[in-house]
Amino acid sequence: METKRTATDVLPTLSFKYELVLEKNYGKVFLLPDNHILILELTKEYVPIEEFREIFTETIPLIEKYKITKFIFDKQNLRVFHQPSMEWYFITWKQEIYKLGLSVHRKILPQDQPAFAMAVEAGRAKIMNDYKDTVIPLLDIQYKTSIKEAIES
Amino acid sequence: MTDSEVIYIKALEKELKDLKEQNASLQSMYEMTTIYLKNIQDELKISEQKILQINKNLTDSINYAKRIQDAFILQAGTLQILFKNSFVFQKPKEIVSGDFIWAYDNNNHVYLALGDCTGHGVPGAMLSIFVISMLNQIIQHFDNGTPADILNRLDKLIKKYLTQSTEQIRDSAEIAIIKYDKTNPKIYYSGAKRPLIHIRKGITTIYQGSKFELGNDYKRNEFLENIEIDIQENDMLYMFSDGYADQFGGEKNFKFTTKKLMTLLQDVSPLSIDEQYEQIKSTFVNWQGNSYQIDDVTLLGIRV
Repeated sequence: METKRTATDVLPTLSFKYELVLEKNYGKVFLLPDNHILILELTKEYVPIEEFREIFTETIPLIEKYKITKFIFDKQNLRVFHQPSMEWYFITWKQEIYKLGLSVHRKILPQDQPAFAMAVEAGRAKIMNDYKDTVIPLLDIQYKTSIKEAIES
Repeated sequence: MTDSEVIYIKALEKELKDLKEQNASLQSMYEMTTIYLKNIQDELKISEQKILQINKNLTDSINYAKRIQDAFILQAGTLQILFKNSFVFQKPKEIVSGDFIWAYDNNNHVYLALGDCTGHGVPGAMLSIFVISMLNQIIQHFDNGTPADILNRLDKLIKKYLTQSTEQIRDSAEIAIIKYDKTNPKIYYSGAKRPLIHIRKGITTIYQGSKFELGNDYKRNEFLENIEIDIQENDMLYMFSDGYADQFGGEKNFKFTTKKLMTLLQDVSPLSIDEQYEQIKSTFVNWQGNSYQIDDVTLLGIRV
């Protein structure tokens, strides 16, 4: 049986101070004010591009307001992703928040979904191949296996 | 249509649109992954071809190097011209070997040496050719010297040539060398960490050689010495590198050991030269079994 380890499940069990600052019917954004961390958790198996862009766009003022230095993208509930959404996320959104001084990204992929992980790798390779002049090489992007590890790394 | 019906229909339309997008995304994920894996597979095939070609070039090159090394190293057939009743068991770890046999016949004496250069494969082989060249150079100017004289001169040449670069080469050779007097039943032996085994009618005498590393002043506890040994017809003489005794194998995957090798030589010494070769070879092969060969192996035997 799959153990739930998303931000929603795990944050109450950890000692970090946090608050839910944004909630949609497909995703949540948590703020860890003392750590200057924002965690975005998508809560559905699939999030259409309109909603995907909506929630990410709404994180921009939060990043600015709370002087966020690390962004954690919790994808553990996802089973399908939309490549154009990912391209927008990589090329447009990351560029936007890089200008705000945020360059540290941590990501958590679904557990026990090797096909999904492979598709993520394929998608990322395609973006790197299609877009040469991006901020991606300037970013500290790491994949982690748990919320705690992502917060602490 | 009521307002609630319009809202409901719009919601359904949105849900349908999202489902279509999700299905298309799933399809796209699989297609993208397939293309990605295909590209990786193609790159791996290209890399494999490159590696195979590099491996072939290297193997061809080493095989050719073996031909050159064979021209320097005394072969079993040539040894049998010098010593009719003799055999050589050789099993290089790789294609070329750090072990070598060298001989020189000045009509009155035959010099015979078995060397084990540190390392194996190409570096060992290069070192072995260097040492053989030095032995040839020494003997051209000094063809009646004692074995210890020859080793001492070799020691000086190794120090001269292998320590002149800024990066000092620490490798060297362990050598057993004999000078066989054709007119008197005597041999003279000197060894730098390589022994000579003399077996007469089942009685084994081991001459260990000196604890003297050629080319390295810091690793020597003794001087090279000459030992005069009286010999009689049918005596057996053996020289070998350490690869035979150090080979792992047997039921418990232990080293064969020098002790077992001494017993083996004592046991086979009464047999004919051909039978000795076969037993020494089969004993090694059986002991090694499926174990990895750790070093070059050379063992020669002479019936006086």
